[in-house]
Amino acid sequence: MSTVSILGRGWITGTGWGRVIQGQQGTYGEGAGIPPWKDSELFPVPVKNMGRFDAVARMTLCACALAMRDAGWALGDGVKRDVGLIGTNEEGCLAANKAYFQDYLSGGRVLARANLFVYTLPSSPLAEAAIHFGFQGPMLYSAQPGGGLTGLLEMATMMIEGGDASGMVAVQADAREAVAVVLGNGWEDGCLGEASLPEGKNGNCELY
Amino acid sequence: MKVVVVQQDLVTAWGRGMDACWAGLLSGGPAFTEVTRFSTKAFQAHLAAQIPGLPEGGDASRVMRMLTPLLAPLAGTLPEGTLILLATTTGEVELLERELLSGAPSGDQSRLDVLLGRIQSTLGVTEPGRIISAACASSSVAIAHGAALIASGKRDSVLVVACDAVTEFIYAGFASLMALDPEGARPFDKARKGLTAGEAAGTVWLMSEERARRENRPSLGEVAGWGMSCDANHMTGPSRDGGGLVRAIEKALQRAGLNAADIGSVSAHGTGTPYNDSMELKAFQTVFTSQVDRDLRARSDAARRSASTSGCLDDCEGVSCAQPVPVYSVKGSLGHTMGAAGLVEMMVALKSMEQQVVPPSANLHEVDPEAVGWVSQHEVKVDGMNAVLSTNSGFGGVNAALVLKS
Repeated sequence: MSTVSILGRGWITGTGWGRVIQGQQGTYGEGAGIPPWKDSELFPVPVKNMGRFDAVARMTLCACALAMRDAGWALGDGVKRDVGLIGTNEEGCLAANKAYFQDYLSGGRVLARANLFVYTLPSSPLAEAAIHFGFQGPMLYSAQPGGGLTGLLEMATMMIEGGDASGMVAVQADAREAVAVVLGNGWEDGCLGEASLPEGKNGNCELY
Repeated sequence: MKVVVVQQDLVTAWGRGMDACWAGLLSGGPAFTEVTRFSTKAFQAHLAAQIPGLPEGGDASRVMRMLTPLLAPLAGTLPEGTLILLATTTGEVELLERELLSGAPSGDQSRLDVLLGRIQSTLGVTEPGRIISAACASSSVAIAHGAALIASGKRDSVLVVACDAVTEFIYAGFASLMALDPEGARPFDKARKGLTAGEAAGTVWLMSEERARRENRPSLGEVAGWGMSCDANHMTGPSRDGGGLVRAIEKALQRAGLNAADIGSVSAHGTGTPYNDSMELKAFQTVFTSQVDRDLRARSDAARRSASTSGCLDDCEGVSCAQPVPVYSVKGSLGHTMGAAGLVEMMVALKSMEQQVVPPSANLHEVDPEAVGWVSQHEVKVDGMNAVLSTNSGFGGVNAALVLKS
């Protein structure tokens, strides 16, 4: 039985967003962009170069921000945190790989674009989030075929229990939708008590 | 619960197996050759550390051609419950290259989960494995995770498989970042200008000491500590002060129950880029200064007075009292093998302990002033080296450190 707790959950899709513990959600029109980007409550400090991020990195940032806000964490305060970030999705960075290499081929195989190359790692979207939120714990991409977010929550729980970080954010993100979960112990605010991870189902966020 | 290495294998630009790799490292020279598989005419560099003699042709990716001879002997031998961890950055991205060059869709064959499936199929393992990717620290992070699973009692057998190949995809990318040294990587050299792309594949089989003993398996070394951190600073450049790496190292030492003074040598990430190598040296100076200082202050007054006469204890506020330990990088020899780097370097570190020899930093001509006293172009004999440190860092500011014991 773990004492690690779920402190916050956030999700975002092409049509809406939610903060699960606070019971808040919103919708917006298809094609209208993702409002949380412009939400000063969610991003009190603008994310540097967010316009250059690839789609997965943007969704990762938004889901992390929603989950952290759900947990009652301060955002954009410039504070470095002993928090780790672990992410997953089904296809890794395949879309970024295609975009980068197709662009390179289109240019005659002479010069690749560095700002596309940097997203050809599955961990790159996580790195963007870690930089913005000041996460100084472990940062890695991990995927288990069919494992989804549940396997990731088990890893995150193990890392907290093993002393790798005081808290972890686990995020499943692709270009269309993302969900993030804040895990930790030792925080008073926003703590919901034991989450029974990894045995229980609390970590399996069936949000949409 | 102790975590031990019971089997390991690798292929590098020096060929198959650790003996070939070790002999190549001790030669002090690079295993770099001209890239001919794709044109490098447009790039600032033309060298890479490429595995010689791989069978050409056929549909199999270069990564699978590297891995298959390593996996074949393990097929059918892994006990039930063995978890497979795949560590890589780009995996079979060569298949994506082929797809986009030919225009013939290949059904996303370059996905990492597809590669994991191929590996499991070759090994005859059906239990779901896991992909771990943390930029150029991927395999050291995978080893850390495997060790954590065993130490916590959740698993008692984990096989870490690491691989990355030299492809036009990554070569063009590093060229776009101006990260390639035209003369070949010269880690810790005063005139270093960048890295040399390399390729490697390897396997490290971790097991609980209890199970290894029960099954009469050899212990090739212990994964005693591990630490991971993120600089949270920049996408492609490291934190200038090495603070992130320091945190990872200190965590690894703490978990191993060791002090910096117990470490006999350091296998550095040592890519040969100006910023990485400088950052690492600052981190090592911090770790091996502050820890030594703390150790000294914890000693008896008599011991402190004795140390003071050497002119050290009273001046240990800055870096002047850092106690240099032999630091080396294999990347001037093997190139930067990206996701495989951590696993290859861990194996080299274990070999170094076995031989009680620190290999030279290859392709090193003039030692950077920051590295004087730490890095050598010659092999160094170190007696009583029972614990070593291996570190990696990568894009996004990721850092990982492993403490290994004999």
